[in-house]
Amino acid sequence: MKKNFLLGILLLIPMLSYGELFLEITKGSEDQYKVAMIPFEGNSRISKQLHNIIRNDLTRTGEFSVLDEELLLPVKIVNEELIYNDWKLLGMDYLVTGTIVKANNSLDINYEIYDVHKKRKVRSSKVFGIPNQIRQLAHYTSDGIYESITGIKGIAATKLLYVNETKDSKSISTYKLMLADSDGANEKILLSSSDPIISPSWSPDGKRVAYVSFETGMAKVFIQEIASGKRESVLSKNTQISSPSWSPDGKYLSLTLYQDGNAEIYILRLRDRTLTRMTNQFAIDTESSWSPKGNKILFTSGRSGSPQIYELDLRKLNPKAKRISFEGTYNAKASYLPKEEGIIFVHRSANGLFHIALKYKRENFIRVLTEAKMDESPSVAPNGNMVIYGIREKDLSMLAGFSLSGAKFKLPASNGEVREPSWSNFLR
Amino acid sequence: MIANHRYLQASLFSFCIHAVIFLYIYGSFNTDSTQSLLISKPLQIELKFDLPSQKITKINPASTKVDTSLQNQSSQDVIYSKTQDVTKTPQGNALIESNIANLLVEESEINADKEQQEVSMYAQRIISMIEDAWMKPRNIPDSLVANLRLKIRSSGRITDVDLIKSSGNIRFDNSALQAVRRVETFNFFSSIPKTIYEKEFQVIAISFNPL
Amino acid sequence: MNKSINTFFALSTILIFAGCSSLQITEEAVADQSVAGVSITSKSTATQAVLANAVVYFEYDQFSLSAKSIQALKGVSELMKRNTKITISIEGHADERGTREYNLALGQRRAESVSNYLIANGIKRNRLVTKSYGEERPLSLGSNDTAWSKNRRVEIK
Repeated sequence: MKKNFLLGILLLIPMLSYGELFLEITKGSEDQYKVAMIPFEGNSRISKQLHNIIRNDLTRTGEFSVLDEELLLPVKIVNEELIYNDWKLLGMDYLVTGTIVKANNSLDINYEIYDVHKKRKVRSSKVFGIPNQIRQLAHYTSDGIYESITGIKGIAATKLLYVNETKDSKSISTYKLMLADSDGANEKILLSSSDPIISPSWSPDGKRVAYVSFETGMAKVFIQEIASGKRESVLSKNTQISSPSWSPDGKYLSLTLYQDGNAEIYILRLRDRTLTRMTNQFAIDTESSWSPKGNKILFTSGRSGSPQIYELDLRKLNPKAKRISFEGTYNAKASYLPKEEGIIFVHRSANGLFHIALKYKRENFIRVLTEAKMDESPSVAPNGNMVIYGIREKDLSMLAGFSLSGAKFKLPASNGEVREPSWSNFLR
Repeated sequence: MIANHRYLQASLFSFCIHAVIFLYIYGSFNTDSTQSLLISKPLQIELKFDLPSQKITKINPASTKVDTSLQNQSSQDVIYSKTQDVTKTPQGNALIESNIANLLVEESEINADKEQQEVSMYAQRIISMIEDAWMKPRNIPDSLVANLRLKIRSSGRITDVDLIKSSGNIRFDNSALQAVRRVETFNFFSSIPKTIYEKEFQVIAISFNPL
Repeated sequence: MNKSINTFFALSTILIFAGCSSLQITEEAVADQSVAGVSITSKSTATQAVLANAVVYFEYDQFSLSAKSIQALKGVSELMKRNTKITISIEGHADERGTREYNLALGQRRAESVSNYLIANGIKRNRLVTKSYGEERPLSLGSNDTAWSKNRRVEIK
């Protein structure tokens, strides 16, 4: 019998940077708020950097169009009142100004938002931190602007997990579990391994990750603390375990166990590692994910003859799985939208291609939202407005995303291939 | 000659016939045009009037008539029955007086009709301007409804917008609010007579209900 | 038999040289050495060859065994009956299409199909280990039918 050694697994505390994903915005959407951003005063270098990050954050949501810097007018103030007419002529809805206060150990950003139609200031905010947190401060500002104008919580300050694979000259692969900002910047390596890593999943508090690693020779689920790098295998049973998903309160992990040689769904209580079996039938049951209130689970089951999506109500005594996908012969990897108004999942269309689809609960048809050939692993942003997923382009795997309002973006890897993204919860 | 009953009756009779003809032509002509206006433009926005007098004029895209057409119908009925009365039984002064009284009521009803039609014409224009400014968000569930209340100055400037009924989808609500914000001013309001503006257009409610 | 012949030759040589009296005559029996054979757990190359050839392929989305596969597995079954100490690892795979976790489960199903066949043929369950790599260890890179069909497999080791 072969034994796989734990060679080549480096645990790096995430202070080591790796690189950056490039962010390309490839399509905007129709209805956008038009915002003019006046360069913040106080520090021109920081101001430029802030401006770029905020512009990218807002544009990526698909709901904003930020005016080109060249077209900016000087801000006119008469009798302490901002003159709005010029901005109206430019077709602007909002104006953003700000000041930067930088000291040795602190960096403060004050910003104001003006409503051009109503002709008044609608927000005055401050975000503060330390100088090397520029990107975070910029993201907080973007979220503040986004929330003030749309009333929806922003996702600029959230984070992404994904798997990176690189090959050396002999085509030997190295797999890395990566952590990055929502725009692909600030990449950190959480785990590096010579064996595959799949299914990364954020804990709701953003402090831990669960994932599947093949380092022991078969699929096993590990939980790792992001700050310390401490990791452990969730169950000592000698069986294959995969597909981890955290309950919204962080107390449970739903898993797929292969104890009888057949994939079945179990729920693991983390406190005492007790297991509760949730499915018991002949076909494949896997890819579980929790509802926002923690009372239901979605999963993929082959029990009808092909992979379809089912729902289990955990509050019932003897929950019976209810099938909820009926279109097509392959529907899998579903997750709820944050208000449970619908689900996002992988759908195989009649021509055999895989796409990301959306189905609203109260409708009986699905909406296909992507167009490439082998789209997979969708993960919904915590505000329910954006989805990140994996695509293949020219034989390379990379990440792509879209907003429900129609904007699209891509995140190609800086090195090798990237896949299996997972979007964190709100971290602010 | 004036005192002669026959002349009076004849002139009254003649007046009635002319009134009938005039009103019939006027009434039917207007009804037709109003109907065709509603049919030719499929409405996506309904205008609701919340008035202290509890009168609600609803422009419903499904129907092809304005509610006020009922009043047209009844006034025509009145006329017809009145004509019959006159031809059948030539009465004394009492009948003539009641006839005149009825005619006056008719006239005010006809005026009310005219006013309703004017109101619905302005309502149409409000709906048009908002429809042009409204961009429905993509990938939202079907059958969403959001209701806004607007406060408008006599100049047509919208001073206040409130979301009185959320659709349950923030992006949809936002798009409705944004449409109204973009319009900012209904520039045709200056041509609305003051009485009509004060009665109907100071505060209006709009329902966004895409087909 | 050999021994008596040796003795005869030895004796005859002595008799022949007995005439030449200055010669030293010796007789030595060579010792028989018994060597204990150590059975090593690694399979013999022959065994490995049989197993390497017993790759089982599958149709898209399927985990059932074809007639050709059953033929290959018959060889494995016989091998295991001859060498009762051998244990094998049955590893299932899938092509890249579809979701990763579902493919992991599909690979496992394929491994189970093979394992079930062997058990039905009298091989004890405790000699078989099944596991799946899903789509993570493709044999053939590329996004086309040829590559995909090569990756939908079970390997026995």
